[in-house]
Amino acid sequence: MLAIPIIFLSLPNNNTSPRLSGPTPTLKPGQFLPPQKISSLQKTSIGKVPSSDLTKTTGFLNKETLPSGRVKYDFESPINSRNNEIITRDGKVVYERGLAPQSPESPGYTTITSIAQLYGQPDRVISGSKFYGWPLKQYIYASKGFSFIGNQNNNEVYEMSFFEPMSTERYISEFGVDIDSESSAPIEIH
Amino acid sequence: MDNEDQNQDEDQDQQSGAQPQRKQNKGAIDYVNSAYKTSKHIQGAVKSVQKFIPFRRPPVPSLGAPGAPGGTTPGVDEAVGFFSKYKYLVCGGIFLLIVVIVLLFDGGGINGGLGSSDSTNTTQQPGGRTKTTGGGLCPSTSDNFSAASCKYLDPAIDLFATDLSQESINKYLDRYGSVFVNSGIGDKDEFTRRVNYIIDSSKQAGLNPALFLGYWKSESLFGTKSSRQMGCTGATFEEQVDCAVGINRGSDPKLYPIPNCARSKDANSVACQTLKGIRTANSGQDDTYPVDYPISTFDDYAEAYGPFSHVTAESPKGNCTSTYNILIEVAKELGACSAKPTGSAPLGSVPSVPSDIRQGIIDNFGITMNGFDSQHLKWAWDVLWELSNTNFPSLVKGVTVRASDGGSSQVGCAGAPVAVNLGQYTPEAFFKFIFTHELGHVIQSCLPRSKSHFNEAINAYNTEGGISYYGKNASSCNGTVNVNENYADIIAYYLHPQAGLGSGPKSCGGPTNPPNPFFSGSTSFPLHYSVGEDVLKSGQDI
Repeated sequence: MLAIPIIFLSLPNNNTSPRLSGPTPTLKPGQFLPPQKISSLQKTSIGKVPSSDLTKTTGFLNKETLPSGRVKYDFESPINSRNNEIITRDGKVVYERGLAPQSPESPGYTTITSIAQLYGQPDRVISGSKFYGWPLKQYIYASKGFSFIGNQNNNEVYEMSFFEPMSTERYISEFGVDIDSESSAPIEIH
Repeated sequence: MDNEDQNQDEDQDQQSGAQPQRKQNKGAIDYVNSAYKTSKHIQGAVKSVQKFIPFRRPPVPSLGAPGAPGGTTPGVDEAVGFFSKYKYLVCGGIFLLIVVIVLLFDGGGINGGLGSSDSTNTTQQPGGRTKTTGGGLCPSTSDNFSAASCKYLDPAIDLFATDLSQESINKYLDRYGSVFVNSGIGDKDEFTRRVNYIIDSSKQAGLNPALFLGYWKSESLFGTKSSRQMGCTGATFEEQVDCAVGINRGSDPKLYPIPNCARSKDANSVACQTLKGIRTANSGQDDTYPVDYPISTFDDYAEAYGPFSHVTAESPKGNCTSTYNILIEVAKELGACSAKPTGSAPLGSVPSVPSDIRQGIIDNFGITMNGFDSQHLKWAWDVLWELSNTNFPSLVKGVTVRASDGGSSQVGCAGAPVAVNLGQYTPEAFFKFIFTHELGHVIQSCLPRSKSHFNEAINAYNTEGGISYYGKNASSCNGTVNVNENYADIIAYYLHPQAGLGSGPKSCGGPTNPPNPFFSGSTSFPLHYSVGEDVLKSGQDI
């Protein structure tokens, strides 16, 4: 009985957000880790050799050597036709893609506004995704080493990509395969 | 947790931190009730606390500007004075707030253990586990990864269905073969051989192969993570499979009661009685997380094989957040989930048409229809009332629909000057069908994915293919994305069970009177149907 008034009287004034529970890192949705880690979606650090054998990492599906000599590792993701990816060159990670969960309670869920609050405005925004369709946009923070595909209608980030900081043009050339700047709302004439 | 562990307690860990929710809440209620009755004790407690946390006004300052050093701070000064004067009232108010919160949680929010708080019919089981009945969908596990709220999902997976299509098996082989091969255990042929052994053994046992192909992934990642590949004992892979499905060396009902209880289909069988005895002896497991005997459902098998109460190294609820969710996803990938429509939502009654139909639609549904003639306004009025027993009207509330002579398209969301351009089509059924198709795009592209179930819809498309000609071919004929048109067709076909219509534009071709993929005969799109249910069924969380 003594505990209740003591507890309430000694409560701090600042609000605290509930911790996430679950087997994955207990980050709050949208929380980013500096300096190398931008999102809890990342399994690796760009420019570094992975700390463990990627083929033994949870969710590993496939390993493929690309024509460029780079090696691509596929991992399970929330969408079974669009895997999470890690690409290495000479053993070091040069690119990683992670699909964000759709549940706000899941680690890695984040919003467009939360990223903007932390990292400012993107270097460039390009409308259209070959995979997701016309409403989605590519938000490119190439100078900061990441980009994401988001939907401004629901403010959600659908997936993020991580790479070494570079120019926007180089990012589009090397990793912008999904960009579909010509997509628009289809008109159905019946 | 395997069969033999049911006989031995060696793997039954302490349930530290994993007490059933219902027991915790009941204890809290008892505490609160007893404390509430002794308010005088509380007053005394507050007086005691005051000695340690005195309520003081700030020192009387020399007069200065508010907020300046030494100046008065009117807001704070008044607040402290108020609190000092009414401290008993404030503390009592906080106390009552606790009571209300605890009662709310215990009354309708969190049920014990693997309870379900969704709107499907629920049956409260002794000890707090709530079974969902009538769920029977192909559930998403995307919201089932929290240890605090992980629950059984009552999937439409028949424990005794033994057929798997070769196409599904090939997908499993293609998807996971690399994991096995890259680990160095064996080559692709060896992986295929083991898959076939699991399937054949399951069929021999009369149990669903999808379940055991799921266990092979969850328990050992196809043998790459653990030598106990199925979570069951045995010197070889084959013996471990036999153990899991209850054949050959695994056929002893006392040593391997779980599969043999299911196979017996007899609650009084030696296997079922043995299993019940074990689960009863194990800290009242059968009371807290009861199963029906004989084991006859996917969820009950999962509970018996890997009890929810079992604390794992992964997390306090690893059997749920990890194993169980993997079983569901693998079963869905294999097409083993067979949710069938139990009937379409009953049509809502349509009240008399008001004199100002357009305003009536705005007033009742928050939807603005601009430029439509009275005939089409009436049809819009009718369809929205007909669908009022679903979530559809509330999901699209706030949109503006503009009559169009140049085809139909979704161009915006609620609040935009125009969300949908819509042709004034005839006949009535076609207008209503396209109306819901286009607004289906609003649901998909404007709402949070947790409400649109966007990921599940894409996964359904990848597993089952498109449900319509347009859904399968849109990208090649109309420059859009197949999954998006497929999604809009999920909405349209779900809401119009009688519809034999096509939503694709003329340029795409295709049949104009195809059968409704959900409601015409046996459905082959259970995953798509489940998406429709999750999004549109009245009472589902929106």
